[in-house]
Amino acid sequence: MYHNIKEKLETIPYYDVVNFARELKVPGVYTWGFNDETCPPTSMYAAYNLISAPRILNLALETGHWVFPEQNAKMQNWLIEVLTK
Amino acid sequence: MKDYLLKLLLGTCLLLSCSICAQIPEQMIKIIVSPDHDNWEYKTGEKANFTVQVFYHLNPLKEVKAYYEIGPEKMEPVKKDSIMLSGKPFILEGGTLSSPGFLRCVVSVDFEGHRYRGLATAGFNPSAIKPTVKQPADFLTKTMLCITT
Repeated sequence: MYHNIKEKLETIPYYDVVNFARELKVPGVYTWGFNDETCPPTSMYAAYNLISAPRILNLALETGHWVFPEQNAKMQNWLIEVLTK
Repeated sequence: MKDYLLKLLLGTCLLLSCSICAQIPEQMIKIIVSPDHDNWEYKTGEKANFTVQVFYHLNPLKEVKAYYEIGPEKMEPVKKDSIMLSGKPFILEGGTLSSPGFLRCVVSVDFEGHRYRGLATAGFNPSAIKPTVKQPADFLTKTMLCITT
């Protein structure tokens, strides 16, 4: 495999979002669908499962790499709620 | 102040990330693939079935071939075949996964020069999915991550 070389495998942990997810300290809302072919749910869960900060997951199962207006509305309502606390 | 800036930054990131994902347009041929669990989630080893319905002008499409592929997400399909549409919904046996992950079923139809796709993805114990990379000991210093405690 072209990418399966030592240097590349040693470098990716510095870029893989999972290692940043581990360090999150702020609350967050997350939303995705199981049909996303660009940001696959397998990798979304790999990152999300590591988050120890307060987290809310809004699944919109049938969405691909796009969102329903309802997802945006939930996100914005949450944001306004925490910003005006 | 620092807290406020962080919140503002967080908000900006969220709003940006929302605005870049456009909504999918309606398509003339609708291919509906439905996993047989309402929450699309299964236990590892449990079998997932997909019901497929194809609509043209919102009525079932008949006598057109539908192609399907089933396999772990982003991997080569383990099942690949086609079926002639009868106008009735049909069920595809998706099989299962033995470890946490996702199983995808993609159905496509060629009609009047266009290819249409529909898909569904079954999750198997998704909350147990683990990352493949480890965190290097010098990760925080090398990425110069700013952490507020």
